[in-house]
Amino acid sequence: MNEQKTKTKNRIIMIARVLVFVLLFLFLLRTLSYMVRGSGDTKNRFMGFYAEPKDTLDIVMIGSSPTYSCCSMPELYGEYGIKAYPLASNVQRPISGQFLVKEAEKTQSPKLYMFEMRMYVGLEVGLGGNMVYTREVTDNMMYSMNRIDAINAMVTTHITEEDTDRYTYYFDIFKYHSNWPSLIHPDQWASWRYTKLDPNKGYKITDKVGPVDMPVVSEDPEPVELDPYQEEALNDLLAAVKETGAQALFYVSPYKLADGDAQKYAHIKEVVEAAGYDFLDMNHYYEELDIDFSGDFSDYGIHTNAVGAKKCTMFLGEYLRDNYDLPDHRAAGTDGAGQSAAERKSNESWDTAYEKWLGDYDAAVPVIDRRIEEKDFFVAE
Amino acid sequence: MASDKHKKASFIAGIVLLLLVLISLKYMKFIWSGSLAEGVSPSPFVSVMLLVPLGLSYYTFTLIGYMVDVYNGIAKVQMNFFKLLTFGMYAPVLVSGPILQYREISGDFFAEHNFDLRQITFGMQRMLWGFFKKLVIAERLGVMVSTVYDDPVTYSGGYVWLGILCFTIQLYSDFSGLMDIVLGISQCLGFKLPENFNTPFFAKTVAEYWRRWHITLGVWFKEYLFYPILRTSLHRNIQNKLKAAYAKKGDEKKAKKRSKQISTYIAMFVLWLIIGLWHGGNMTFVIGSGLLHWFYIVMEEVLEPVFKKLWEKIKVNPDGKVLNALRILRTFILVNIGNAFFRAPSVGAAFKLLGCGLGIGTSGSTAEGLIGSFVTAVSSNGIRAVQEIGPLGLTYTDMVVLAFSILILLIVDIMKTKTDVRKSIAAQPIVIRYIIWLALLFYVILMGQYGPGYDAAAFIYQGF
Repeated sequence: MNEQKTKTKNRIIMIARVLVFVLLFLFLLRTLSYMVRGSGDTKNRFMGFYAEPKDTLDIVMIGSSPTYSCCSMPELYGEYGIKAYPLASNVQRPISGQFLVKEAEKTQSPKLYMFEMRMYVGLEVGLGGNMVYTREVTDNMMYSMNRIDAINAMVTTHITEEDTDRYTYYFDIFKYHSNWPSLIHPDQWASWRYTKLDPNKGYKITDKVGPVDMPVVSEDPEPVELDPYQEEALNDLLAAVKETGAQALFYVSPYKLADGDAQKYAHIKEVVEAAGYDFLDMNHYYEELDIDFSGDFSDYGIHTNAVGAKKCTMFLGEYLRDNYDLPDHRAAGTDGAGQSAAERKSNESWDTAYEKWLGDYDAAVPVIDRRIEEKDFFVAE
Repeated sequence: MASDKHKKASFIAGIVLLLLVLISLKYMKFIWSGSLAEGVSPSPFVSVMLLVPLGLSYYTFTLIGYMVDVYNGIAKVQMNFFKLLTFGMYAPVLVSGPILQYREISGDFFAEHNFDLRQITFGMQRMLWGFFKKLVIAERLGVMVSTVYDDPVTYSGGYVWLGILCFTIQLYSDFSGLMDIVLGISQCLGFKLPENFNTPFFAKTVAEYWRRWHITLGVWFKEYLFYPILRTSLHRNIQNKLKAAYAKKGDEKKAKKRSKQISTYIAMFVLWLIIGLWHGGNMTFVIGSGLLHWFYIVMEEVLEPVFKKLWEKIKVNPDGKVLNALRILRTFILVNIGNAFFRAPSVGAAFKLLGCGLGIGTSGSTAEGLIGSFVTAVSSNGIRAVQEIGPLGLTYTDMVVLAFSILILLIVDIMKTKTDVRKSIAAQPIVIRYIIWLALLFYVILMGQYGPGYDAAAFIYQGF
């Protein structure tokens, strides 16, 4: 009897030891994965999102690079009291939208989702064919089941024949392990939990200038269907948003439209509105935006610079104020009365971000003016 | 009588068949590839003929050993064909061995294995150590070795010797690393395979080196080739003729001893020639892992009495620590020279490489000095220079990682001569154990050269 008891006890100890070792391994694997991920604005943006106190954001914006270059989130807060944060990445594949909505829902309950639609008019051959665009999303998400789902959906070889090394998506440390010398940087250590406030609240400022002629936008184009993969992604996204119960605004930031884009946006408008959501194409509001294609863009009609971003932000702020019932967090005051600790902490960081934005903007404007005057235009590397 | 004849015929037929498969598939490759004109792609037929099944020579040797042992009555015949097949084709050893002896392994191999966490843990620890050797050390060394071997003129002098030294360590960490993985897998499955390495670089003679390096190959050749050669009538005839020739010159006892010695050297010559050929049809292998080592061993035996007299004359303790250390160093240098042939693309290239090391046929190294280039890089790029590629093809950071890792390997190998390292670690408190294994695990994960962006070379001994 005693022998049996000892055996059972030993077994339990053995299992406990194995479990402790496995848990320690997983914890270290996760932590080191986060730390060796390459530093950059996308990593900072995603970490910043996870660091925002729970349920403090009004808007979560999802989309590709125009999301974080066309709208200044600190400006939107400073001028309208709206807290919006972009879960955005460079050339973000539309298929990732549904997973980012689920990711956002884990820590936030935004009243409004905003989706930048530029990538939806693209072709899958260009988007799904380059796995870097996938990694921009999956390699910047925290480890979770949703991340696994995103990888399962996004890492496919339906377009590309390149060896995807799938395991390196699930455990990206196996891709970025050679980045270990970067661990000498304190910034990398600060990312050990993958939560670190982004002082720019996801926005990426630029003082570069790349002029382009103002495009002529067709006012009433004939709708044309999207690439089948993007069409499916749009439907999946609509279903994902529907589940959250939040409002949604599908928008297009101003840029130099390619042939056929306007027709596809017309189709998106039909689909989105049929689902009960709003659609806003800022390319129909150049006058209201007061956008100047000869000086407000950083790279020849693709992304706005600081001046262009300010104009777009003001336009969006007005639009949001007029069309949605969003709170003005500035009204809460700075004394902290009646606010939870999370709200207070959140407001403080947004106030700081706004001050930083004002300083950065003031520094960028004269540079932009000089560049326009000297025709010192952006040169792609 | 008839049964014996039948048994012998079956035995010979089996051996011939196995050797026929080995020779036709492995060595015909050299004939087929030799038939190709330069730059001409092979026809589909030739392409197929160029293919060699994975692990061919390993399972051929394993099965020959089995047949010989059964024939000689020292191993029981395995009547279950699938069991024999499982043994002969045991997957982990197919890549590079170790070569298994049925009579030694079969009992453990076919026994029932219960779940044993300790064995699984030990097995995984051993695998991890193997990955450390392969991914952290061997892969980095491979870059340095290729840099020097591909351009010995530029890197003449000290760099050449460094390159040769690096290859020896690369070969060891690569091959013994793979053995650690194979033995680790087997331990997880519940059985122990024979060791293939026993700290070979601490050998005091080349003969001892070969008892510590690729042990199972040495055992196999000794048991199934060398001893049978010594038992042949041809060998006896040579020995008798030599004895008669020496006897004419005088002392009968000396003649017997000398004739035995020389006939054994002749048998050893055949043995080492075949060991060299086993590594590949190329002359670099015949010399680098065959005949050069035969020469070393013969010279060691011939010169042994001379040195014995010398130590007596100058009153040096032949078993002293300093002398033993010098013997280890001498053996290591000789092995390095052999490995220079082993790694070089041709015998001519090996001589050229060694010549460059000695400053023959070159006006000196034109490669930048390691320290000088680092100082230049730091002065122009600051601390970021540590990530720049140095003159030997690795970044300075990688060189530091490499040096540190080789130091760990050396320390562990020294410890292995005195104790069972894994058992010593297992005796430590659990916190220490966890720290050691997690540190090693993440050291390999972070510092290992694998995954996207790396082209992890195949194991060096995979092709033999």
